[in-house]
Amino acid sequence: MTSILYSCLAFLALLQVWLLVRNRTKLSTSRLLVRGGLNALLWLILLAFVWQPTWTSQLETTHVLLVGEATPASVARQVQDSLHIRERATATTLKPEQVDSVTLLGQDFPPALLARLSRQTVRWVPFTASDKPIDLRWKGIVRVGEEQQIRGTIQATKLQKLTIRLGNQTLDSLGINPGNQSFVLRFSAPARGRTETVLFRDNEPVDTIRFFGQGTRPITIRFLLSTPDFETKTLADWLGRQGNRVELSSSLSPGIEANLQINASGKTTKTGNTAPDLVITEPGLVGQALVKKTLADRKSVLVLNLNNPPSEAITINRAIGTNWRFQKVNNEETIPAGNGLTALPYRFAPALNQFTTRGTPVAVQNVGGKVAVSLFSETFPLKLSGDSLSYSHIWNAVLAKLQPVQVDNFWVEGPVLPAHRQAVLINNLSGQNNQLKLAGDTISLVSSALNPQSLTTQYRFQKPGWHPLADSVEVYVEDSLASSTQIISPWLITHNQYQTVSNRVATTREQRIPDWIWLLLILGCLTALWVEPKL
Amino acid sequence: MTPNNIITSVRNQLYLNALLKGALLGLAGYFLGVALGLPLIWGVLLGAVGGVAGLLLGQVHQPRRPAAVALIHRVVGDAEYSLPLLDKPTLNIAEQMQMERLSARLVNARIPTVWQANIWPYSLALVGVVGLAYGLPLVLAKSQPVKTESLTISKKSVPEELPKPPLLASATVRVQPPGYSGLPVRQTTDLNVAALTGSQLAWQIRFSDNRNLRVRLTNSRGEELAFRAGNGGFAYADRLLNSGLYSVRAYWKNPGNGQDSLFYQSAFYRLESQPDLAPKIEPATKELYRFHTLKDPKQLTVSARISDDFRVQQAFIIATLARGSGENVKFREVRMPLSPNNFKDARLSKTLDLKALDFAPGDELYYYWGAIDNRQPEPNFTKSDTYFVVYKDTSKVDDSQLATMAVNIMPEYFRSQRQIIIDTEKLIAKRGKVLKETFNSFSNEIGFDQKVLRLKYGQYLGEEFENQIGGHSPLADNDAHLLDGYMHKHDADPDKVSGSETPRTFAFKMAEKAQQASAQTPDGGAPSGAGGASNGDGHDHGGGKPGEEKDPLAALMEQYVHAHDNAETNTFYEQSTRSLLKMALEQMWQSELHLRLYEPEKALPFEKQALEYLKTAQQKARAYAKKTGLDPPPIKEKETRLTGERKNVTNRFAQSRTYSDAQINSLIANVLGLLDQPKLTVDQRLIIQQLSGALYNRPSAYGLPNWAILSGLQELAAGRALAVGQRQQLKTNLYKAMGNSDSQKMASFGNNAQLERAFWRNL
Repeated sequence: MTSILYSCLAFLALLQVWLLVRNRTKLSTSRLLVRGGLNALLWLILLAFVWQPTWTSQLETTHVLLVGEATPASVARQVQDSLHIRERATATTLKPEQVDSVTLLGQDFPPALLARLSRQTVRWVPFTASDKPIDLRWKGIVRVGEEQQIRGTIQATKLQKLTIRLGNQTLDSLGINPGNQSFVLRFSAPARGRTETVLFRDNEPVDTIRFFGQGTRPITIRFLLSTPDFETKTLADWLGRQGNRVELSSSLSPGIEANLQINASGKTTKTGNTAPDLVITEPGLVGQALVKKTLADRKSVLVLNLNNPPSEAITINRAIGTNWRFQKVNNEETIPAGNGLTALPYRFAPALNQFTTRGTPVAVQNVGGKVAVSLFSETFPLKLSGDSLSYSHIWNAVLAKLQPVQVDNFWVEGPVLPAHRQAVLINNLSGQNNQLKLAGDTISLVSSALNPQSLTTQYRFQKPGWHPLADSVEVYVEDSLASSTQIISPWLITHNQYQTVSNRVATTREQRIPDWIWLLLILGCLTALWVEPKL
Repeated sequence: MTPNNIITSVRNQLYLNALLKGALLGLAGYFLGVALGLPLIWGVLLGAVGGVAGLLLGQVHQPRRPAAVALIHRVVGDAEYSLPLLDKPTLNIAEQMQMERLSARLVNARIPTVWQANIWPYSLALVGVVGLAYGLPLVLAKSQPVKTESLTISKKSVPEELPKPPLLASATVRVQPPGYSGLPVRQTTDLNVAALTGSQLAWQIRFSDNRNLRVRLTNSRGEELAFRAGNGGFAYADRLLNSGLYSVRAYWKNPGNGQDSLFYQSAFYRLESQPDLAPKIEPATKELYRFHTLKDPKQLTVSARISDDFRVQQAFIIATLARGSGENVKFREVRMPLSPNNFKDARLSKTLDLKALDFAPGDELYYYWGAIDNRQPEPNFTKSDTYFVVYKDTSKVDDSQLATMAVNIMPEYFRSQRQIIIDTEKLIAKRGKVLKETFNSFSNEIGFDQKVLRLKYGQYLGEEFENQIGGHSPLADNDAHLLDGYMHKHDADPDKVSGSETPRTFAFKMAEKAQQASAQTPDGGAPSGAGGASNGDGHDHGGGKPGEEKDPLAALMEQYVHAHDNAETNTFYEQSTRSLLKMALEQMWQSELHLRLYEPEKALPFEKQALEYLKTAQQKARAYAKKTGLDPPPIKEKETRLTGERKNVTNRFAQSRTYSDAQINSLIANVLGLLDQPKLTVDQRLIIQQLSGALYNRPSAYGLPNWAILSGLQELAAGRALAVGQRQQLKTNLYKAMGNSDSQKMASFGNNAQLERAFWRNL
């Protein structure tokens, strides 16, 4: 190709020489010289155009402070001064081609601009407007009744109040003292389904926080007792009032049973139809098949009504493989256990695999399923005396440790942004397939090496709005404008990861003559050649 | 005809021509408007535009004389293009001659007619537009009947196409509050009714076509009441008794296919029954209990403010006077109407005349305010707290005073038989050591004790007093109340002290009977001993006498004393006991005789004998009382006991219960999650309906149903979308209605079972 070009040039040179010498008679020498010079110049220019000379030049590094939209000018000036940056630009005035490195100030940059900064070295100075909750994070999917936590940070200039509301109902509020601080708002998820709460700062709505409330299966509790007593009756009643399914059977005499069912669903009225999630029993009955089966199913057992812990511990340990040991702490018949309650005068000998629940003489050991032993002599006097709050407190604390594992536990951290990779964690998925339907797609899940019950996936949601996840759950994807910090920080991480390589080469630049200069030169020469004979 | 005349005529014709063109175009414009079906004003505007355009086309804005001259030059051949000479102010000779020649030639010239020139396109336009304006509707009208005809033909083949359900035209409700309230009758189009309980409600609903319709009033549970058709609409009338939600449904029987379909359902409206409140009484004094003393004035003025939401029909004071104490209390109730009657709000006062009420010391007066309002048919009644006025009885002995005097109450002279024996033995031992007088005196006193004891036992044998036995009155020195000390006659004394005759009248009837009975005894002189004792017997005999010695027989007898006044009781002993007692009494007589004669040595054997008899009588007097109560049938031990047979024994005591609170909470949680759904499915609506039902039927302990929640839920269940504000409010209310569940659930996490087990076991 080049050889043809060069031969063309050679032919052109010959043509020019011929044209020059064709009518030499009419011309003076000076005109001939001028014409010859012009021809030579044209030929040289064409030669140079074909050859395309290039040279490298040392790049002049330019550094610009790129100021975000929401950042006030005073802050920008301050940062510019302290970082000794000469130039300052905004998203509209910046010309990325002329800039080698950029210091971003603030968060609000259009994604298109960020995409154009791929060549530049980028540093980031976050700027947070004061009195604005930022960096909000929450659980995208919560169980109904589970605690939803909304975490964030705020740079407060004055005393103010953060409130989270459902409708007009305040779910939680927090007084914020002046200063830079993080905050947590906690409330139990009230609704099953799409929940829309609004974060207010001093009666001014700041952000809408949407999450999905996932339903829970009611717990089935079975009492296995030899004789009915008031303690277990009160406990069964309380558990029933909490919405659990309770079945209390006690044998009045050999072969004669009293059976009480609370909140039993209409169809399963026969005993033993549903496997209980929690069996509450007494030491003498721990050896029963139901207890062993419950533990084998990784459900929980609570042992109540102990009389002589050391000897009963032996029975329990032999029956279900625990290693309870008790140490006598007092010679009294009972010792106080707070709230006017009494407990047996023993304490649990420390063991690594046993955990006491705080504030109660109840300990839990995990043997696959969980076994809890209560040293309370009785708790019903608390309920009878009207202090149902303390009663609930005690038993809620105990039951919290004995909760059964629910199926289909999803974990998505809010806010979910569109077009960003979002981790979705699934635990204890019902059904054995490793695929999950998500927002109209079917995605394959990666199971954890240690825990095959835990599956993860990364998904990029495209459109904002509610997206179905599995069969019963939904995920809310925010508007892309919603949170700029979440956009810029992953971008910056990715950018800097790849920037480290190209950063070093970019100090010199190869330069060549721009095309428009070529055009001008050629045109100029041709014009001169055309004009010269006419003069 | 002068040239000038001709020119003027032609010029005028040209103006006329322009005017004609303008008129024609104007008319054409107007009719174009008509043809296009534009409003009149647009037609007129178009006409004006057309007119102006026509005038402009006729060039009226330019001087028409040159045009007229040019036209004459063209048309009238003899003018010789000389007419401009007419405009010249001065003419030379040649011009004058030409002018004269022209005038002469033009005399007979015909004036050209140009007013209608070039008018035909305009006329054609007008005709065309008029044709359009009037022809088009005609054409359309002609095509219309053809269309309907085709439809009527097709109606026979496809009949269900045509009929359309009627539309709601109007709905009003007339609220007529009960007559007594005096409230005006209201007629509103707002179907949310809040009216006084018992109001007469009449709905009147009209549809655009009232044929083939059934209209029903339905409540939130879907129960329906039929509207009555007539009077160009549908009407339903009923009395407002309770609150609730309702909506109106209309069913339309399609005349085409005869199918009945629900075509109209209104929103849910609220029926709120506002009760007529009971009158309100605010007494001036808050002090419920006060004392009245002798010195206080006998007029007691009390006042109260009484009001009602409508009218108070009557107000009154009910005063009750209580007199007497213990079981002997008598009540007298007085109703004192207050004036005025029939008021809305008034401060009433009343002076209670205590004297007229016969308010005596020791009495208590209870009074309360009462008021009834004018509600029909049953008035509301309110009563205030009860106020107490207590007349302090300063003369009465307090129980607390008695307590300190307890030691003194017991008479010293009482001795048991055993004590008498001991005393006698002591006295015998003292013989010779003390003065004879002293000795005699002591002996006499022991004799007296013996007498008292004898009298006491004698009482049980019906020998009430000595005079019944001995015929003399030995108690004259003892104020005739020998047994006072044993008989707790607390109440009898004040009567005597006050000296009043009244207490008798306030005694119980039983007491009166007893009194009468004792009055009939032969000796009526001292009946109050028996009657009085029975009156106020404090029923506190058991062991309350510190000074009394433990004489078993006395203790035994004491139980029988409880039988009070009836002398008959004494004869209930069996014969042997009776005779034993009599024998003991005889011994006592003898003993007393010797003691009185200062011969204690002789008296001693009788005393001992008496004691022995008494002891024997005591042993004998033990009675067997059969227990009353359930007498179970004898158990056939051999048949059922210890056989281990449980054939007929129920071996399963099953019991089942459900707590609705947690279920309602779960329903509320469900519905809260549905509120942000853009569209609800049938199942979701069913959940909302369930919650609505559950909240509606909640036990009344939770207060009245929350209408805001219920109507919101009904709207949702009916498939309507809620406004943003309404939805926020519903969320708030639902959250509040959700009982506070303090159980905190935890996020759960499933692990590898084997690994977990191995870890915990080997830890």
